[in-house]
Amino acid sequence: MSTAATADASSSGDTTEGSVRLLTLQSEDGEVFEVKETIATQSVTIKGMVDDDCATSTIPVCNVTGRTLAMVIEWWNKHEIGAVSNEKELKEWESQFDTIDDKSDRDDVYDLLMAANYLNIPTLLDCCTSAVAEAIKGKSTDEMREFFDIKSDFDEKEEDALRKENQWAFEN
Amino acid sequence: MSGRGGDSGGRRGNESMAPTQQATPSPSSLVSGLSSEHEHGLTLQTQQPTVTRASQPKPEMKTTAWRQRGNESAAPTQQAPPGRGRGSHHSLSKPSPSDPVSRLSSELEYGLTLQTQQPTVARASHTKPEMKATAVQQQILAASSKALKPPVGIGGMIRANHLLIELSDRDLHHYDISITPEVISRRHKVVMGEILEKHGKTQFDGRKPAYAGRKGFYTAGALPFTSKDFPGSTMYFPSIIILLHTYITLGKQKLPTDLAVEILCRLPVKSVLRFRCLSRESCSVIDSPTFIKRHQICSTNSNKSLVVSGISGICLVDFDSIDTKAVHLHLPSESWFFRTSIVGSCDGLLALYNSKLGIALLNIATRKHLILPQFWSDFDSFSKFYDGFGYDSASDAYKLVRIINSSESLTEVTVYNLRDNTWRKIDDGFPYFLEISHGVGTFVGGSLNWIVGGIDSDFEYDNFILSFDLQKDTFSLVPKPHITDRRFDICIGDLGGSLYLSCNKEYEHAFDIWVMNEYGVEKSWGKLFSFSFERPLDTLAVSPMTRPLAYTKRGDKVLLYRDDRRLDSPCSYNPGVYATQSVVSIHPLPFFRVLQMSQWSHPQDVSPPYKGYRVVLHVGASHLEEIVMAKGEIFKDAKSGDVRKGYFHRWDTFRASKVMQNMALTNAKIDIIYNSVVVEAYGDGEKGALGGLKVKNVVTRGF
Repeated sequence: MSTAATADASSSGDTTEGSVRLLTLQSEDGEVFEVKETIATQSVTIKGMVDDDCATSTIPVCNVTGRTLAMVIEWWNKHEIGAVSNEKELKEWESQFDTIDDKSDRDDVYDLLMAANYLNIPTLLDCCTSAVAEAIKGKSTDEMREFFDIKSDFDEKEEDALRKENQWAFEN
Repeated sequence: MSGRGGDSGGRRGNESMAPTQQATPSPSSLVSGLSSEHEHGLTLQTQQPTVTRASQPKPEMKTTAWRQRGNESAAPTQQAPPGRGRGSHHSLSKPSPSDPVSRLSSELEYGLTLQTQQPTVARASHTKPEMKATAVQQQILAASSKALKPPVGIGGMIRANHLLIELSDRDLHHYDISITPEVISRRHKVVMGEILEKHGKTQFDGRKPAYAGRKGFYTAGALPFTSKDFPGSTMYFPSIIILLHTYITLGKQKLPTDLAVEILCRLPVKSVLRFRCLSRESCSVIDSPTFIKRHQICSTNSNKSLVVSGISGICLVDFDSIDTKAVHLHLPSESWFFRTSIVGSCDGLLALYNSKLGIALLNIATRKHLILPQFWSDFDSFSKFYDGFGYDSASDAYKLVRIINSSESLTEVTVYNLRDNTWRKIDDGFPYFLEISHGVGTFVGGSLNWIVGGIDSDFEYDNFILSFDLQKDTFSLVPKPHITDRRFDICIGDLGGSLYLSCNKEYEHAFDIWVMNEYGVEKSWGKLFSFSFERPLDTLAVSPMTRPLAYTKRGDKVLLYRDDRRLDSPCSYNPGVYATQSVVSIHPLPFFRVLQMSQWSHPQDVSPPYKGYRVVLHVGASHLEEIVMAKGEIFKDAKSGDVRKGYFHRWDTFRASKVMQNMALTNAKIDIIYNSVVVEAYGDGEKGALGGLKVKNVVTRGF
C-alpha cells in the first residue's frame, strides 16, 4: 500500500476517493501510510476509533514501526473481504513463517505479534500465534529456552519434580 | 515560502508528520535537546476554543500565520524552496488566507487546554481514546515567546494526542487482577474500590495503586507481596487475586502474558506440559485458570484421538493419522487391566468402570486418574445398569450418572457431582426399561442420552431417546426422527457434537444415519446418508450395528465403526481401516480438565476424594506455594457458565498509562520530563492574538 512517498495529495485522513475514505496512519518512526478505511477497520482498535469519530486526522500507531506497519497493511490487503484467491495468498503469507528459527524472522514475528496485539487484528494475531506455536511445538525444554531466551529459575530438584509430574511428555 | 504554501502546501500537511527533522539548528531543538520520537503538529488556538475538525478544513477561516522561521523543517507546508528559513526569522510572516491552521491542528487529535495565566502547568482536557495529555511546560512558552507576544490571560486549546511523560520505570509495578466470578467491566472498579478502601492502609503498604479497570493494576513501588488473594472480600466476589504481572520473553523482547497464552494454547498438551518446566513464569502462566480455559477453547477441534478398548487394554490412536501405532493408556493400576470398560468420555476425561474396582476417571492427556467412591447401591449380576458421564457448564461440574435397574425391578438413579464430590439420588419415577445389561450414555447438548424402552401412546412397546439434563438433573425424552418402518435397530451417539441416530435395517445390511443438527429440536433431524454393505455370502446373520464415529478433519468423510470390527469410510470408498479392537469413542484432548486432574492427584498421602481444588500460586521469588482452596472459592463461575472467548487485556497498558499519567502529574514525587517544544506559532497578526502553535517532540508512545 502507499508509503510516505506515495501518500500525497491529502492533508488529513478524511480524503475521500470515490466513496472510500482513506485513513492516514503514522508509524512509530514517522512513516505515513494511507489506507482505505474498509481495509484498516480489520483492526478492531482502528475500527473503534473510526466508530468514535476519532479517526479524522492522522492516527498514530505507536509501538509499531513503519516496516512492521507495511507488513500489517499488506496483510490487510490480502485479507480484504472479497479479495481474490484468499486461500492461496494466505498460504503464501504463512510460508514466510517457515523458517521461524532464524533470529531475524523471530524478530519479525515478534513485531507482527505486538502490532497485531496492539491494533487488535484477530486474523493476524491468530496466524502469528499459530506460526510460533507450530515452530515451538516439537521443541525440547532446552530448545525452548534457547528460542525464548529464558533462563530457568528452578533448581535441579524442582525441575526434576516438575518433570516427573508429567514424565510422558518428555518421552518421544 | 512555507507560509504561503497556500493550498498545495496545505494539502501536503500530512507529510509534515514524516521525520523530516533537519540538521539546521533551531531554537526549539536547542531547547529540547532530548531525543524526539518524531515531530507532531500541535496547534494552539486562542481565538477558537472549539477546534476545527480535521475533516473540515475551512479556508474561509481567517487565521493568519505567525511563523517562527527558526525552524524550517518544522514548517509543514513547505515545498522546500531555496532559502527557506533564511531571512524569515522575523516573527511575522505575511498572512496566508488559506494557511492550514486547522489542518495542522487536526493532525493531532486531542484537545489540550493551554492556560496562559499559569504558564508553568497547563491542564489538559482529554478526548478518548488516546491518552490524556495534561501539561505543557513552561519551555514551550519560553521558546515561543521570542517569536510572538503571547496573549496573556486568554485561555486556549492545544490539540495533541499526548505529550511525553517519562516515568522512572524502576518503580513501576504491574500486577494482574483476577476476580472470580467474573464481573462486568464496570463493576471491576467498584470491587477494587472496596478492596482498597478496606485493605488499602494495611495490605498495600500505604500505596495508592492505579487500577486500569480489568486486569491491570499498577503501583509506584512494589507492593509487599508478589501475590495475594482476598477471599471473601465482598459478598458477591468471593475471590480476588492480585498477582505480579509476568512476561515470557521471545528473543530478547518481552512478550506480554496474554500473547504468550495465545501461543501456548495452540500447542498440544504434551508440548504444554513440557514447557511448564521452562521457568517459574511459564509454569505459572500455564497453571493459571486463564490459560487453562483458553487452551480448552483452542483445542476442542484438534488433538482428537480414538480410544480403543479390547482385551489388550485401552489404547489411544491419533485420529489425524489413524495408521499410526496405538499407544497403551496407563490404567490406574495393574488390576484395572481386566474387566474394565469405558462408560463415558468428556473433554479428554475417560470414565472407566471395573466391576470389582469401581469407577475411575482417567485423564488421557496427563495420564492421571481419580478413583471415585462407590456412590451407587450394590447390585447383583442380573441387574441392568446404564452409565453416563458429562459436563454441566452452568455449574462447571462433571457429573457421572448411574441408572440401576435391579432384579427387584426397582430403578435407582444416582448423580455424582465431581465438583464437590457429592452424590444424590433422583427420586422421580423412572417409567422406562433398560434394554441391555450395561448401557453407556452419549453426552450431547449438555445432556446424557440413552436408548430406553417404554410403552408409547398406542400402548405399543417402543424405543425412546431418554435424555438427562445435567444442569437441572431431570429426565426428558428427545424426539426421534420420523421413521415409519419399525423393523430396525437403532443406536445413538455423538457425531461432531450433534446427536446422531444410526438406524440399522434388520437383515438388509443397510442403514441410515440421521443427525439432529440442533439438539432437542425435532425438525432439525436430517438424514446424513444411507449406506448398504454387501451381504457377506457366508452369513445370513443379522447385520452388525454400524455407527459413525467422527468426521475427518476436512469434514468430508465419516469414519464408521461396525460391531464386526471393521472400519470403513464409505463416502470415499477408501479401503477400510482396520482396528485390532473395537473402537469405543473419539475424544478431543483439551487441556482444561487436565489440570483439574493434576490437582486432584495431589497430595499422594491423602486418600480420595479430595475436597475442593488445589490452586498453585506464585508466591515470592524463591518458592512455589500450594494453597488448598476450600471448595467453591475458586472456579466458581458465573451462572451462565459460558466459557468466555476473547482476549484479556488488549487495552490495559493503554488504560493504565492513562491512569498512571494522570496520577503522575499530580504526584510531586515524580519527575516529569517534557521535551515538547513549540516550533511554530500561528496567529492573527493584526489583532496580535496567538492563533496556533506547532509543537514538536510530542511523543505518541505509551509505556
